[in-house]
Amino acid sequence: MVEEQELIEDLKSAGKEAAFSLLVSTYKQRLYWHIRNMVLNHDDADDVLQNTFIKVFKNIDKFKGDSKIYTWMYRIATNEAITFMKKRAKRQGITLEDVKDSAVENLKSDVYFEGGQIELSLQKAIATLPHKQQLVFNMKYFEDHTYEQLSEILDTSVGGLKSSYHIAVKKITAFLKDNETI
Amino acid sequence: MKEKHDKTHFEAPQGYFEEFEDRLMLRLMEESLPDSPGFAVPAAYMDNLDNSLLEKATASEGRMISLFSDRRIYYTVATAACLVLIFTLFRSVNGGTEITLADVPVNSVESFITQGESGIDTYDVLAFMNEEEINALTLESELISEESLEDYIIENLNETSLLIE
Repeated sequence: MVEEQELIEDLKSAGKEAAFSLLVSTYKQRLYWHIRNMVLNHDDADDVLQNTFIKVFKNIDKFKGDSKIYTWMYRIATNEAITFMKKRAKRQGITLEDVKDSAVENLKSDVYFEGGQIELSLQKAIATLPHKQQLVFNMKYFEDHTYEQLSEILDTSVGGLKSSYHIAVKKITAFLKDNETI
Repeated sequence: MKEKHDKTHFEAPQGYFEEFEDRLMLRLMEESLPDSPGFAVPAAYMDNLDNSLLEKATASEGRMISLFSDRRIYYTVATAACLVLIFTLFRSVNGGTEITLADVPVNSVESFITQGESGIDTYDVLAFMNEEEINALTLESELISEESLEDYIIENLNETSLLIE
C-alpha cells in the first residue's frame, strides 16, 4: 500500500515518466489480457491498451486514491474496450452483439489465435452471454480475479458476482454440450 | 451459526454443507472447459510495449479540455437556453415575422451572453412569456432527436471521460 502510494505520488510529480514506465511494466500484461478477452483480436487489443495507458497518463492527477490504482485502470480499460466496440458497431451500422459475433468468426483465420475447436466454441459460448456475465466470466475464469477484486472493479456485490459467474458457467457448459464440443 | 463437530470440536463456516454441492458442480463444470482462451501475441510485443507506450503517452500529452467540466456545461447550457429564449421572444414580439438563425449574428450574441454583459438570465426572459410561448420552447428543444443525440454521444464521448471526471 505504501509502495502504491509512492508510485501515485511519483506519477503526479514533474518527472513522472519513470513512474509511468514502472506502472506500464507492472500492469501491461494483465490489462492486455483483460482487453484481449473482450475484443478478441490482437490489433484491437493493442489499440485499446494504448488508449487506456494514455488516458491513465493524462488523467493521473484526477485519480483521488479512493480505490486502488489497478482497480481504476481496470475500469478505464473496460470502458475503453466497450467504447471501442460501440464505435465499431455504430460505424458498421450493426449491433454490439454482431461486433462480438464477427470477432469470434474472425478467430478462425487469426494468426494470433492458437486455439482449436473447443477454444473457438468456448468463445462462441461466451459471446452468447449478456455483457456483464461475459465480463465476470472472463475476469474470474481466465484472469483469476477474486470475487472481492471483481466487486471493487465492477462495483457489484460479491453475492451478485458469484451468482453471475455460476449462471455464466452453466450456460457455457450447456452451450458446449449442445454443440457437442465437450 | 457455525457448523460444529461434537467429538473433534472442529468448526466449518456457516452454510458450508448446504453450499458444498453447488460449489462442487461448478468446479466440475469448470474442469470441462479449456484452460486458456487460445490467444497469442506477436513475438517481443510485450517487451517493446513499455517504450512505445511511453513515447505515445508523452507525445500526446497536451492540455486536456474536459467536455464535461462544470464551467463548460454551465456556459453551454446557459448559452443554448438564452439563445432559444431570445429567438422565441423576438419572434413573438415581431408578431410572427420570420427571423431565421442566419439573420442573427450568433457569435456576437454568444460572446455577449458568456461575458455576462446581458444582465438578464433565463428567469428574466421567462417572465415576459406566456404559457403558450413556454410550451413552444419545449417543442424547439425537442428538435434534436434522440437518435441524433445518441449518434453524437457514441461518436464523440466515451464512458471513460465520465469515469475520470
